[in-house]
Amino acid sequence: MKKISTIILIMSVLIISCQQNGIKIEKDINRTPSIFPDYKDVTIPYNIAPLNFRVEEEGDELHVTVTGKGQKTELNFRDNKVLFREKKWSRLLKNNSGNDLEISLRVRHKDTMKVYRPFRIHVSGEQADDYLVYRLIMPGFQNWNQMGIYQRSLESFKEETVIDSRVLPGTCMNCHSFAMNDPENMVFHLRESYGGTILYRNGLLEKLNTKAGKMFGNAAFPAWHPSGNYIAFSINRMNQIFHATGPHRAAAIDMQSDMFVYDIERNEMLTSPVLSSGENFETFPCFSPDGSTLYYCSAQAVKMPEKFNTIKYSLCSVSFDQMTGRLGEKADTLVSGRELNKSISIPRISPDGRFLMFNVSDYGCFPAYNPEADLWLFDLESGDYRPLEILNSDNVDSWHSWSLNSRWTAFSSRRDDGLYSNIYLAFIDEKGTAHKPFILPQKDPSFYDTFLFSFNVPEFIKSGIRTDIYEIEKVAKKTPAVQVMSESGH
Amino acid sequence: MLSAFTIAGIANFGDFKTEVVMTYENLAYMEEWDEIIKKAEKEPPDDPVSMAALNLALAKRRALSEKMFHFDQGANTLFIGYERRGMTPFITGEPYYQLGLYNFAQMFAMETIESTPDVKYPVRSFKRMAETFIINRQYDIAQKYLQPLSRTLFYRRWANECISLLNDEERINSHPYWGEMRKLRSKYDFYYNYDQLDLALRYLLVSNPGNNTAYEYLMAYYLLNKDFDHFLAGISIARESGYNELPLAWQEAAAYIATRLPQLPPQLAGFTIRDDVKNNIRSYAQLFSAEKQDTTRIKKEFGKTYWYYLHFRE
Repeated sequence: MKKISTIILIMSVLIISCQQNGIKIEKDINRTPSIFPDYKDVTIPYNIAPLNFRVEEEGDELHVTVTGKGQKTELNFRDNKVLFREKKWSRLLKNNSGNDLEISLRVRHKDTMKVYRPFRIHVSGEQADDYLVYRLIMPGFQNWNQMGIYQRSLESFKEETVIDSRVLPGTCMNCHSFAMNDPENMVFHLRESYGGTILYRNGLLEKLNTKAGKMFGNAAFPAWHPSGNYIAFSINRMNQIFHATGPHRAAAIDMQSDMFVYDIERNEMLTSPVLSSGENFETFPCFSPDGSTLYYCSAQAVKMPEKFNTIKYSLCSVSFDQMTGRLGEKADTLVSGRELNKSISIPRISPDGRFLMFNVSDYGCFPAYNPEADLWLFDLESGDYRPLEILNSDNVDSWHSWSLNSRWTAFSSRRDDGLYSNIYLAFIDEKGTAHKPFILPQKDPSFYDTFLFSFNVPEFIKSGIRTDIYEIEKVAKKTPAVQVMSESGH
Repeated sequence: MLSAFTIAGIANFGDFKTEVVMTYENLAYMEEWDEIIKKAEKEPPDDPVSMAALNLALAKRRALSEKMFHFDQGANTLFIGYERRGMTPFITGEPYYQLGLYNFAQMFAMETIESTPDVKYPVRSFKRMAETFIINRQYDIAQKYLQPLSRTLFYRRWANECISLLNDEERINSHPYWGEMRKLRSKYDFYYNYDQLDLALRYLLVSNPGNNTAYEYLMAYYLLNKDFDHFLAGISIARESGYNELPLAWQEAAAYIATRLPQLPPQLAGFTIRDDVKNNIRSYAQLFSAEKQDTTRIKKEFGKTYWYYLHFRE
């Protein structure tokens, strides 16, 4: 009897101690709250916009405590969205650079307050580039009406238009690329109306007609030489096919491809039998940061489109002499697609020259339509390569770029719903270990639920693009395109 | 005075042709098949969009093979081709959806959204996107299209009902609408090719022999393309598809084939060609092979037969 009385007494004390103003407090929830986007345990740069999120727990009120180095901030919200003020957030991150932030959440629903286990956000001392450039387009098939290339300040939610279809109607714009993340050296293509390649270099804008000599098409996927004096381009004859059933709605087939190196000063397209062989398809160029090697993907030509789902691209390289613009006579195969029984695309080298990130899919060279497409990392020092498991998802992960300090990657992923590509950012440490990726933050955490455009080709740039949308429009519409010449045999 | 001006204005500036096309599109979207047929019988359509709607309505009522040549058919009146310029008409994807080719229906719904001036997000294309994603079990994306619809006046109830079903395979499969639509899907994958849509229809039939709309379309496709070998091959599954007698258009084609061959093809054995059809083809043959062919008379007397289409269209 005495035992029972003691238990009742303890229970009463507990109940009384756990109730404040008639609100029952549940402290023993042994889990972190469910939130979207998932920012739990991510590593972020100190110059990132506020990681606003939505709490996916039933509740009427939110009480958030952010604890950093010698600092505790209390925030209260009436609905399920946690929204940080930009200036306060920026100060918070700068003060906690290299440290962790602990986020504690209490959610009141009616007369119950649930206290969740806190989660952490690691604030890296490594800065990401100031801007991201991307294309926004609906995930359509062949038609388009509205698309554009935009630059987004990473530190805020500010997005500016670089060029869009309001000023260039009926024009497809794609493949924006920069020399070593420098917005002063930019190239992108316009197709259909006002077609041509727009080159912005050292403050000058011009439009090029890149189909030179015996090239079978216009320049496609670009890669700048770090010197800013050359741009390697692939020339692709792409077709699309559309599946009748299943979630693989389409496939892009490269019917033919070669590569050329554009010498900007001489206005010439340089080539080599290595890059324009009839027996092989060559695509996705990428220069090493020291400018001495050109990496690319190559596959033995097969009958297209019949054998499109058997083609395996390998990762190859060829030497490049930046003084003469001459390419080596012999290519090396770094990773054989046949041996790996996979297909490699989009090689991108970290600016410090240590790592090469590439895409791996079951076949082909256009991973945007291959749900199995994953990101892999090649260590150029050791020659080892492996999948970046923590970055990859069940859907397409592709079109990656590196920050100038080689510590951040931005890539596009269809992981959220299988159709729309969103940008994910991730920290890669000096050993090549990737950290949990996080989606590009937006002011409204529900932004991605209703946004009907895909984010394509995220590219870091170290500062904002200076040229104006209307200057680009003027050059695209009114300036005659400069005809690129074929190699004169210098 | 005002009324007179209004009437004159409408008469002068009204775009009645577009209105007719839009009416057919709307009726097809609302699945008002009988209304479409009634309207076409009153005033036969003569544009590709209205004809595509009419042919779909006839197939859904299992009357395409009977009545299709009562109307002004062309080689492309079953499916509207892929146009990269201008707005993709809403109806372009409708036959694909009704047949069970959901990925192609989704493709055209997306193309309509993409090609709509100012990207005003046509609600019916949103609905079609959601429908095809539900049928394909892609619920996360379906949700993306259902959410905006759930905030509209007219689609709210429908969208909320769909949202309540998402991820519940059992309920969706046993649902009178979704369950039936899922049954129409092809079990085999193949690729969109406008020039070989008969292959797509054959895949649908192999996957689900009960897909009567696909069978009607397939046979109509062969007749419109004047492909008698495949037409006869198609006849061989007529009985198991529930056709104990050949519909009129097939009879006319069969009667014509019989005139060209020394023996009746085995596929036609067991089917009778009606006496009036036999008599008609004799009369048609006389007019057709007359020394001075009177095309006006042929059109007047036989314009609604397969023979006229065969010899005088495209």
